[in-house]
Amino acid sequence: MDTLIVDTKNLVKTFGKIVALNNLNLQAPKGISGFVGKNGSGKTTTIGVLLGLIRSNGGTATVFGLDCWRDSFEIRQRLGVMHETNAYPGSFSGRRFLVHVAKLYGVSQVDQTVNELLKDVGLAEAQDKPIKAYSAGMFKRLGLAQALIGDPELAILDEPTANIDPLGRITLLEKIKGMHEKHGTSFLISTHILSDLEKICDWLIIIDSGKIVDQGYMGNLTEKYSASIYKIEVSNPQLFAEAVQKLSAVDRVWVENDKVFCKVNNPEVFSEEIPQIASGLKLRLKSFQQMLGTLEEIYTQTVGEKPR
Amino acid sequence: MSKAKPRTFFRLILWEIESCLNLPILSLIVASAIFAVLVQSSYAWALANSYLNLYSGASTIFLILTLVASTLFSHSFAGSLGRGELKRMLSYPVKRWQIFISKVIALTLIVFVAYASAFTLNLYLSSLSLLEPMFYVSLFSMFLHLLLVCTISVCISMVSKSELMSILVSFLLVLGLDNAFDARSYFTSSGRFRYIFGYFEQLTHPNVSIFGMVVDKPVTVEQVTVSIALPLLITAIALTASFVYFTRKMEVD
Repeated sequence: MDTLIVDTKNLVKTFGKIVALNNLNLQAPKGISGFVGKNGSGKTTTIGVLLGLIRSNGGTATVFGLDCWRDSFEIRQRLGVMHETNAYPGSFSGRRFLVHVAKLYGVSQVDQTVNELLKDVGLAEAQDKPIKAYSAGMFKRLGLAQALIGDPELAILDEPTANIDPLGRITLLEKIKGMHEKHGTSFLISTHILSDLEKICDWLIIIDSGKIVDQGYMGNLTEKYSASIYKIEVSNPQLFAEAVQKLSAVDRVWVENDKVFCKVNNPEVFSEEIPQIASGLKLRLKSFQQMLGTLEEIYTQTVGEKPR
Repeated sequence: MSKAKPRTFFRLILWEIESCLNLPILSLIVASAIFAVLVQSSYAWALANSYLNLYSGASTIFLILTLVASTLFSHSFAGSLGRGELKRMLSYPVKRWQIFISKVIALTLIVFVAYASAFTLNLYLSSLSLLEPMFYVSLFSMFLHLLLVCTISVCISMVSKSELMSILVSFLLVLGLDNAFDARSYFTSSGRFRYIFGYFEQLTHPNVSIFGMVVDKPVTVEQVTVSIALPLLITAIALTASFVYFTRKMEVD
């Protein structure tokens, strides 16, 4: 594994009786990391702790090896953040706002940097418009620009593609990937739009109920989870699913879009038994294939339900 | 690791001022200040060519100043929390104390300049000289009151984290104090203003016969000291408590 940029150990955060983070052990190396989990799983709280906005009740959290609460200022000098909410000063033009942020980061050539960023994120034409006149996509692009303005080592993006049309999402993801390739900026992207991450992520972190369910390089996770999943098309999926569920080689069965999905623990035995079960029930076996892993499948297996 | 650039603090002040100047509320502040002054000068007993007009109708000024200041401070502190602006600001390389102090300085400056500018209308309306000392005494009293309202609003913003709650509680608290106590109490804005104005009137206009309209008897040094020290003391304690909470304890989620 490359050098860890973000590392938490047994991180705990409670809000009254609500446990938001429950012994969270998150690790993110250099590169583009995806941080996925359903609503309320603890993604935004984790980001809050990493930025020193929220104080944990237990455990440790470090970014660049620095303590997130105590050394928050030093950390923030080296990272950029795009929050989920669009809390930008509406009366300012995009350019004026970015100039101000650039000065806060101590950027030496403010005009040049702002011009380049505006061009990179595709806001050059709208730079003099007041921010309140921006569309949802433009807000996100402005958010990305202000997160990258200090040439950070790490950019944390919270739901960067939420509320953006498909074309806008593709453009934004391309920008992120471009920034990583051009400047070597690492990204920690929190989202529940899995298909977005699939296109650009090197490392994946899955969180559920304040705990890390699994994390690792995308290739490794895909291999780990896809090898044990099978998709079967039969003439009566419900009946077939009920029968398959009784097999000892099967851990879990679910039906989706008239297809039966099985997570198996013994693929060889499973492959032998499936045709027998189908013929026994007098069902037509249309197709039987091992899944090629997608992020959604990994997520479904680890968290146990589809992302919302 | 490089330290925060010293100019960051001044940039934040300018940023806060610029943000406020772009708010629609600014025109309300200026309009309310002018309104307060005009209402004051329209009193039937307002005297021609008299510094005493600076005193009359002070309650109107203090009332509107209380409302406006509590609105602006609550908008900037509790409001920025609710809207997520504070979260964004605290994600930049700025220190918490810089944000807190810059907000307090910028907002105090804006409200005070707006009211002080409008208050100079009095000099014209009452045909007074710019060198009239009681004009500056009145401005000083307004500043003390502004500090008190600012402190209360910031404190309540920290506790409630709700803009509307903070505006209402701050305004009603100051208004309630003014009504709950006797008009000559140190706990009311008009009471403190009465002593401060009366004391300096004794010093600067000892031979004026209308002296009795402001206070019943000569104001003592102790009375004026308490009138000045009390709001300053409350400001110092409450602002320090808010500052410590904001910089060391407050979670922004």
